[in-house]
Amino acid sequence: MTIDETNNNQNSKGLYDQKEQLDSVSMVCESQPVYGTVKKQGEYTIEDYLAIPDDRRVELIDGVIYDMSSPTAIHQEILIELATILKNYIHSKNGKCKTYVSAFDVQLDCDEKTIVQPDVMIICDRNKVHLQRVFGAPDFIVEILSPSTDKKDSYLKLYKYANAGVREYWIVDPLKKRIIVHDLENNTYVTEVYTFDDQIPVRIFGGDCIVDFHTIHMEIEYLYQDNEET
Amino acid sequence: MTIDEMRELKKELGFSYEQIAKMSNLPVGTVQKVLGGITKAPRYETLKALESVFEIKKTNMIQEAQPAYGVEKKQGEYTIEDYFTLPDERRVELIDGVIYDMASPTAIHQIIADEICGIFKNFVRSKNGICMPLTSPIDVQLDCDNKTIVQPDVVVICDRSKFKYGRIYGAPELVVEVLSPSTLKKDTYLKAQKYLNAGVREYWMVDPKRKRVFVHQFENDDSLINMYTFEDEVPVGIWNGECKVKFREIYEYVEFLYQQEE
Repeated sequence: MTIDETNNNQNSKGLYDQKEQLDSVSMVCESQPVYGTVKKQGEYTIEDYLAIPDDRRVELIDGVIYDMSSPTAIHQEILIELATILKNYIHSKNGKCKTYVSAFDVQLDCDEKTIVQPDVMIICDRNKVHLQRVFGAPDFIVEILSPSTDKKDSYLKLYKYANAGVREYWIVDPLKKRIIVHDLENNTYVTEVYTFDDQIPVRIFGGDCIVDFHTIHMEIEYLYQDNEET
Repeated sequence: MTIDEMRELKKELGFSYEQIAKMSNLPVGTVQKVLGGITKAPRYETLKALESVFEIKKTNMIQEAQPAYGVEKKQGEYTIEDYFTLPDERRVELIDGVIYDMASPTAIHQIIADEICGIFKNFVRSKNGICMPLTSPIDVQLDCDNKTIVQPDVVVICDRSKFKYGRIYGAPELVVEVLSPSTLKKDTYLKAQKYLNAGVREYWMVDPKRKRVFVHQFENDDSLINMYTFEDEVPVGIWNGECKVKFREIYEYVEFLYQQEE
């Protein structure tokens, strides 16, 4: 039966039924959580996050969607260098910890409100790693700052990571050429500041693994010269 | 874990069958049949995969307080009414509805806060300025809502209309917290985030134990975070560095107390 037929129907009861059916159908459609529906920041969930087109890189923190900028060459070099050092160390010790780089989803609080994509992370409990995403807090996280994310990485994520049970959090600042290391373990909560020429111990490995940032610095120095010329 | 327990957790966590399927790498149909009670005897591997989704470690929350005084409320639900009904001798802060007990300050802690405040006051006086530096205890209703009242060690208020209801209503220009072992976590991770969001322009964290000062200049994108030692002169950003705090002098002043502690 079409709408025209309904309208032509002299039986008012039938017309009423049909309209009500149409209404209920359209209402069901409206209430579907579809990307693009009217939601406020703070109300978004994992469904909304997963419905966002792949070409838009975002994170979801406490129901708020944050756009992520495209990484620079310096960002990518540091990321690969760090991940390689960490991976090689774990291999050399036949360790069971795993190193991952962005973009891999982390459902940090095991809830519906937060999905982050840390630049580099180490996860030692393999049960946390699922095919689609990490479920729970990584042991170790590195974020490499870009001017658009520095406040989010330095304060919001620090707070989220400390609360979720991340044991160690490095914030690499390519602009100021320094690394802020937050030891979130053992109730000491030490914060250390290093330069791009320092040797930095990875605390979750008891300082046995040392990242020689000077080597990384030398690797990426050419990119800074390039920046100065332009 | 029994299937009933998983069903309960599913409800609690608000997971859909599809999400559970994705997280456990099981087909949606299998998840539905098992959790829906249609499959009476699921395979061991299936159960293990499902369990792994629900085995959630308790997150270690930033929390210091005991259940609050006399009131049957959960942390996160307290308001400034509850805060003001607490007995005066119990020093607490209220942050996002959570009550945090505050340790009594040590002499070192108190002297450092007083000295910093004194330097700020002298500077303002010398300039005939209108800003008012204050030391704790002073209640700050940081977000102008009923969920948060903090008591920073030192605050600088430049907008005098923020003095309301016998407390500070809104964000101070500058906040100094002198860290103690029991507040380190709260001051470093929770309050930094709260102050940034509330519109505080500058936040100092003074760590007497490590003899260091972290300065967060929330408005200055070029030097957001700076670290100083107790040997340094620390410039006050909100006064464009015209006022400097000589930490060497403060340290020399309290050094005898460090020796006592040893």
